[in-house]
Amino acid sequence: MIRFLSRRVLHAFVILLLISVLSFVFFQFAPGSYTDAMRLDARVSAETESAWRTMYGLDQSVLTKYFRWMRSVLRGDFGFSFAYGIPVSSLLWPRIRNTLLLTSVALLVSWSAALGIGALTVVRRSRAVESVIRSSMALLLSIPDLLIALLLLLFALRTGLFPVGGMASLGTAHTVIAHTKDVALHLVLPALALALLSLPLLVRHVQAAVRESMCAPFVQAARAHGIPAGRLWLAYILPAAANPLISLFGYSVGGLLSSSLLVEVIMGWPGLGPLLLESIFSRDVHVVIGTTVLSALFLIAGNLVADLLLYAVDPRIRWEQ
Amino acid sequence: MLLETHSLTKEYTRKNLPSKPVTVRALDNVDFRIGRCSSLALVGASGSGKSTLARCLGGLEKPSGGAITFRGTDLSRMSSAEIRNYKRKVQIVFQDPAGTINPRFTAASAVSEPLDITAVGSPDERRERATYWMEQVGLRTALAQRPALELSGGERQRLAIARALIVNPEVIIFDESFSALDLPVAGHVLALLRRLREDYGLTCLFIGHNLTLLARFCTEVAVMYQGRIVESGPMQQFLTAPAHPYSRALAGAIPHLPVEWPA
Repeated sequence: MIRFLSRRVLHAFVILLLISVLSFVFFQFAPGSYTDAMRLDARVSAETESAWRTMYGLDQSVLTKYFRWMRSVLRGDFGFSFAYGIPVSSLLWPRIRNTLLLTSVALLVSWSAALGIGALTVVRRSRAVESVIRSSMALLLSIPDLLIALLLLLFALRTGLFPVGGMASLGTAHTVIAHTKDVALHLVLPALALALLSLPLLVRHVQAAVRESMCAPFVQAARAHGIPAGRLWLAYILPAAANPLISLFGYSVGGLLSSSLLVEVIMGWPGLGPLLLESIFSRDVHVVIGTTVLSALFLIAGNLVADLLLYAVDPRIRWEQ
Repeated sequence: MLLETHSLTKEYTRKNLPSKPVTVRALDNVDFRIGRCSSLALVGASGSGKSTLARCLGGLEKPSGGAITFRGTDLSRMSSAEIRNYKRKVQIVFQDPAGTINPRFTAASAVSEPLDITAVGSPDERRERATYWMEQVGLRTALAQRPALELSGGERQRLAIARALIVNPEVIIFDESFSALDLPVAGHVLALLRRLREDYGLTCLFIGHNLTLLARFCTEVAVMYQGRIVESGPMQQFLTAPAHPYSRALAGAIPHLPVEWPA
């Protein structure tokens, strides 16, 4: 187990290192820099701009910039934000917390719904239920992500059922319970948008995995041997269906994170998304790279959790180790 | 009669859009009966409906017409508890030993699982019984804690046979189960089944086309051809005077070698 885990952690470390290098190189090729906007201001002289560039280290080679950034990562700063004038880490942490809150809730909602809907269609074998679900999923899949988020916003504005934009209303958080309730209400729309975006794909996979494991020869054999239905589901069908779904779970964490960046921007959720967009526009290089590396870290962590879950539920992987 | 079929029919309909659905009749008014302590060889070419019949008898397929009766009771009229009891009494050993054992189980747990479900005896007693039946089918006890997937094809097939035997069944249906076994092992298992037939009245239905092996063990034979039973009767009569042209081809294909089976 420790060998398995340490190999995975080492693997993750190498990937993160590569992502940070690639992010630096790609950003170097991107046109413009943070000080370009200064030139538009007639009051800023070329000397001043040059002094800023020297101060931020923008005139140094990519390699020097990368090693300076790595040193700051080791210090826990993740570089320095030119736009905010503070270490990137102090900008990122509160945003990460908000993004994680949103994606965890969306992950829980989308997987619970997908497992319920997927299993229901396979078990019930009702043509009516199946066609309703198939049509709904096809509809969801065909609507662009942006439109789903906008439709939800429109629904919230028209009905007034949920607050729109931000994470908390001003002046309502007198007690912890009131604050939690307020945040939960603000969370409904972005979490629902994210869950709806990933739902069709998850439902398809759940249906396919359960259907395939129900037809597996050892399940058929168990059925012929008179294994009771409950035991058949718990010891045969679900464990066999779990493997592809657990692997998908790891990837769905990454998928949700990328979708959350878009949803956060549209819905005004104060997560990594709006910060990343703002930093890209202002060429705030360290914030962009910090956000990219952190998003990759989440994806890797999701896959690591999936690997550990597979290790826990499938004895064949333990036997292999 | 222990197990009988009455005009058993099984049809499969395949959607063939935009054309009309295509219906294939896998079993066509099959009538056969098997008594206690007997051993019947059900032979026929691939696609003749043998495995469909086995799946219907094992309760895995619902017949399209006709009936299956066990000790005179129609399967379609049995309660779910009676069906569970029927499935314990009538065991199937499938052709593919790799696919039919849960890959997450060890050899011993695959064999003892039917007892674990019904909680028969203490865990130690169940393990002992599993080991006993593994030994009976010629598997070393050292294999008990090995993952079932790590066993060879022949070992896994014997594991499947041990699993069927552990619940003291009245009938075992072997659906081409001996094709994965080499001849000495097959002979050893057949000798064990002969002993169980004599001591406990076990009834065996062998599905396959290896008459060389089955002719030495089975007292009766039924020949399937295109979903129908075209000939049935005592094995000796079949071997000496087969009536149907396909039966004649089958009987004529048996090589006559001086092979001695273990007692």
